[in-house]
Amino acid sequence: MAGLIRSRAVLWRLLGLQASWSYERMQGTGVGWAIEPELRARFGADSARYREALGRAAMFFNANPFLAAAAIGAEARAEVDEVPGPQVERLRTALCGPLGALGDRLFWAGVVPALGAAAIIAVTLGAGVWAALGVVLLHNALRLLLGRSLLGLGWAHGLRIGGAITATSIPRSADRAVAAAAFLCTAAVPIAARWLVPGGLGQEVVVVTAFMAAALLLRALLGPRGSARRLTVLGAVVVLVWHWINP
Amino acid sequence: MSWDSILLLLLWGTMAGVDLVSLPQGLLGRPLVAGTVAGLLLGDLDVGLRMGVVFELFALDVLPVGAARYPDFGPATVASVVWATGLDWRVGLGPAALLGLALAWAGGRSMEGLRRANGRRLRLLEPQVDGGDSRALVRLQWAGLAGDAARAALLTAAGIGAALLGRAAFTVPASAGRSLGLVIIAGGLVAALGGAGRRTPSGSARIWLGLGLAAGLVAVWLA
Repeated sequence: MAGLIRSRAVLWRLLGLQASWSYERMQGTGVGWAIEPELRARFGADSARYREALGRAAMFFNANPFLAAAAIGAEARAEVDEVPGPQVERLRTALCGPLGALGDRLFWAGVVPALGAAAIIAVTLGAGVWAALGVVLLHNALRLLLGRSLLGLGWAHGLRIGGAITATSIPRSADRAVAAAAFLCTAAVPIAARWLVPGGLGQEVVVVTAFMAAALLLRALLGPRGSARRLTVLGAVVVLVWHWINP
Repeated sequence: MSWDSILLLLLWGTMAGVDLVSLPQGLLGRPLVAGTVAGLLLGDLDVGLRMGVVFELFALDVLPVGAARYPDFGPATVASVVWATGLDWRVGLGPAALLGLALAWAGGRSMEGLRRANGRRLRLLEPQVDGGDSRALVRLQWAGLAGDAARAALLTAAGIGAALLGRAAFTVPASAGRSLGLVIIAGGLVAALGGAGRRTPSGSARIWLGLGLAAGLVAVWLA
């Protein structure tokens, strides 16, 4: 069977997958919106069939937005293959967890922090504007190519998409991306510190190191309540009060 | 600052805010990107890059997954660059970044409000959506996008206003400004370290945390 008829329209609409994100259906309405051109192309002549499939496509869904293309391709294929409605719904539900976990690991714990940290290092090396441009170009090239590939994979494998994704290099790539992020994020810390606090081992470096040690200790003691942002604001208040008392 | 600059910054802050979740999630809202462009628009690239780096360190501590609440650093970085532009960055960074942290928090809160508003619209149109009416889906998408654009524009406008007011009304002594800046930088470095540890809770990838830190220290030592 040939591929998706409206794959380009579906891919473009995937960029706005989360525009109507709500706590009730999360990305569900966005999935319905993204898959709509394909359903119209397939079932446009049969209004009842089109509406039934579109209503199903807009039900609850939540996964990583950059990997949702796989679910959309698979759902489109299942609808075209006349898979019973309850089975299509089970497919969507079954894909939420794995696509969410894998995509979050690949992008939010891997690619995005790795790019952010690499851009920090690049700025300290004098890359200037190119660092920001590189982040945007690399991320978007990757997510668009991956989206196109996953849409095709979902269409090719339909109900068996879960196994098909496991067989790709994505799980291994996610592990590598997490390792790269771990390396780059920690490497960026001393490099950024040197760039933001120049001047060797002077008084300023001592102040920064002392605050970092205190904040890391408090963070370990307080757990999630001791976020770096809260501790920073607390430290800032202490500094302001100190300077107010000792002008 | 000219009205043209303010309008361009408002447009850019709005784009950066909308990019966070709604469209296109292309990392335009990352602090380093938002700060760089804001610095270019204001003719002070150095301040844009420095604010961008500081907030990027904080952003490395954020995992924007599912229904979690997370800060919106895009408009916040733009406002902070407005505050710090033209000042000695060592003095301006602290107060500007404090404003940015508050705005980023407010941005995260406003995102929750937007999601609840999307839910209210969905409940109104639920019969049509369940019945496969594509016009209802289009309405939901456009309304969500417009709501997010309004949210991001308001956040950016409030941030730019607060930054201009802050610059004019609060003269932070140089020594206090410097100390404040150091605390903010240290906080960002802690955020980046903490985020890296949180994303790599176990397994062989933890080795890369130590290797990265060692490589960074060696690079600084050699520089």
